[in-house]
Amino acid sequence: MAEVIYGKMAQTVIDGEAEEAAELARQGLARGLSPTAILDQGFVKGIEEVGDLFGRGEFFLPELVQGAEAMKAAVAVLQPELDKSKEGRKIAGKAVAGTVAGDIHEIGKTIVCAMLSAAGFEVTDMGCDVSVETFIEKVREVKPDLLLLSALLTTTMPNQQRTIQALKDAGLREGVKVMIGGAPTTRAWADEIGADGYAEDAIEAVAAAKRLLGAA
Amino acid sequence: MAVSKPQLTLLSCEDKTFLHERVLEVLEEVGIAFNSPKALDVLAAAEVPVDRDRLSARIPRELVEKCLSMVPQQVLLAGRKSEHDIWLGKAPLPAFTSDGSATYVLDDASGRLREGTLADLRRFYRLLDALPEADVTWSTVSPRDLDPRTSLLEIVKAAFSESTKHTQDGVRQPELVPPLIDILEAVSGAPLAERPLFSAIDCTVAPLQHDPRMTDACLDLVAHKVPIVVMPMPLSGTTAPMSLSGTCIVHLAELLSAVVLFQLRSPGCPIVASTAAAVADMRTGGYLCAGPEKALLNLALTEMCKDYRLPTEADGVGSDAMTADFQAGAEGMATGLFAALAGADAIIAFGCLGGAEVTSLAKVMLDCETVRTIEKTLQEVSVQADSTVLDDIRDVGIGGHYLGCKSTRRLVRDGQSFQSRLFRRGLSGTSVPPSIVLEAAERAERLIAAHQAEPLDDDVTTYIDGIIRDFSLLDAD
Repeated sequence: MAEVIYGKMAQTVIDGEAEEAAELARQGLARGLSPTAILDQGFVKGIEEVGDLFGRGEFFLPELVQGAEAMKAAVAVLQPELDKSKEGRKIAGKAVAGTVAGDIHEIGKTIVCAMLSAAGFEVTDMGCDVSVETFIEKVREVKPDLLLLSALLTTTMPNQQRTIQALKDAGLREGVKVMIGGAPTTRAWADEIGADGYAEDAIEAVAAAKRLLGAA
Repeated sequence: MAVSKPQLTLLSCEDKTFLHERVLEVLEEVGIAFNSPKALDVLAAAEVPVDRDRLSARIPRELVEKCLSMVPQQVLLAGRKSEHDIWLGKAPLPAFTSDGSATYVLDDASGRLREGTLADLRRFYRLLDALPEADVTWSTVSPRDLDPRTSLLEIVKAAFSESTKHTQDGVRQPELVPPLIDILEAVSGAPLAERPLFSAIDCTVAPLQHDPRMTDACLDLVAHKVPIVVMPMPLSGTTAPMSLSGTCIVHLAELLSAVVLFQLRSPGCPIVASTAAAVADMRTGGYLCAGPEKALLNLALTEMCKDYRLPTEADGVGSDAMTADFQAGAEGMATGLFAALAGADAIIAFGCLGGAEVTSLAKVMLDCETVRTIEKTLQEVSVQADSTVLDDIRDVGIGGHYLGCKSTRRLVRDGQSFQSRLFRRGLSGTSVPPSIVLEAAERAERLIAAHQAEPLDDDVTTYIDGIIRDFSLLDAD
């Protein structure tokens, strides 16, 4: 019987049904299933399938983003129980992402976050117009493996550089890989400011993130 | 005598009313974030309900209609030389501008991309000055070797050093407005309101937001009657609804919110409506500036902007192709022709590749041919004007030819037969000629080498250098 509900859980992610995913997570816990099993045998199978379908060109961005939203809704229900459990959740890595100060363009960064979530990363999306200080505080708090800095304007690109410098000044640079992106940014700019990774688009960003963390 | 002119429409009167009503509902019920206390002050002074916490406002429909009626229907984009003055909303044919702000320059011969520099930009300005098809310049590439704090001032200096045509660009730093105005008035020798050599591009941020610093800069510029090109760029599927009507509604709501703000700040200030809404790549989320959906958006938005009686600068001859190839030509012609046939007053045309991230000299040259084709297509035709047509047909009779007719000679000379500089027409020999792209790039190089715009006076150049130097010292402090 458990196999049936795990299959349904996976399907809610494939269908991008966040409310149904949360409801099935609650039902699973009520039946006494372990939160780790619910996640690994149910919802993770779904998000893996979404990732595969996207990779094969059969799924498009809305399906990917809605799958990630469904996954997030299920994890929100399971998280309190996961925290109590010793098993914990297997993740590809922890990532913090945001658009730098002075810049309110965030669709590119949002898509990268969705793709990283679908690829098994635990992602903290800080939104847009994020100050250097706020990034530093969040890195200190979350201790991510990866920090992603987005900029869409030539005038805000220097804030990517300032954030990297501030990480160094705070003694946090060694503990986190930094990736940058955004339409006016280039690999040369990434090299110049000492970023570890750079990607032209969201698909490349996931591949680069995996490479940086040795997961690919 | 009746004159016929080709035109294209997508929207019925009912469609336009439907879209406009939805736009008004969005502005009244959802509102729009201006993200600028200064903008909210302007709106609040006109009793617009503002939300100071969210830096947003809900705009009453009566105010939208009132402000729309205040926008001048004709806008002067002045050149450094008056023979390059462009009057949007007045001329029978659209003006054509360069595309702008690409990150990379493509070397057409090697196929390599590299970051653009100031030297590249100067070459593009010089080429655009040499090309009669180009009416307005925009920094085709963003020079990566400039300090971003002062790059706009350097770009404007380069524009007027290499060209005598009007230039437009985005002003993202309000602190640059005073030195920019000093530079522009030094170049023209007249108050900016009299000789607006520069128009400012105001990119709103979809969905339903304004960039605070760009907005503040534009608020200062409209006080000097600098024309503002309001350029919303919602993307179907990501920052706008996936449907054509949904994307149009978001686009037009952003446009009209800017119209309201700037008319309240400076009644009667010149505003140009852009149609830069586009489509998101549903695999990567990237910006697609061409394709059939984009062509239809361009058409619908141009129609709406013309219905609003706004001077309109439509998206045009750009492409998502990475080189100046078949895809680039097909995409550019479709999007540009749709906008032209819908009655756009200006069309962004020259140099756009790779979803506006890449530019190349060959693309600029080939875009000229696309532009000339569009202009030829738009030519008015007087079907009944040729009173001698039947005489010619009688004279030639059955068989024979028309090469001997005076009317043939006259009409060829008058441009009835389109003569392309680069596009090949029909079979010429049996050997395949060299690539049209390389030929275009070589012609561009020859033009750049041979052309020299009338230089700025030495004292003007020295004055501009002083302004830029003083500003960088001030900023560094």
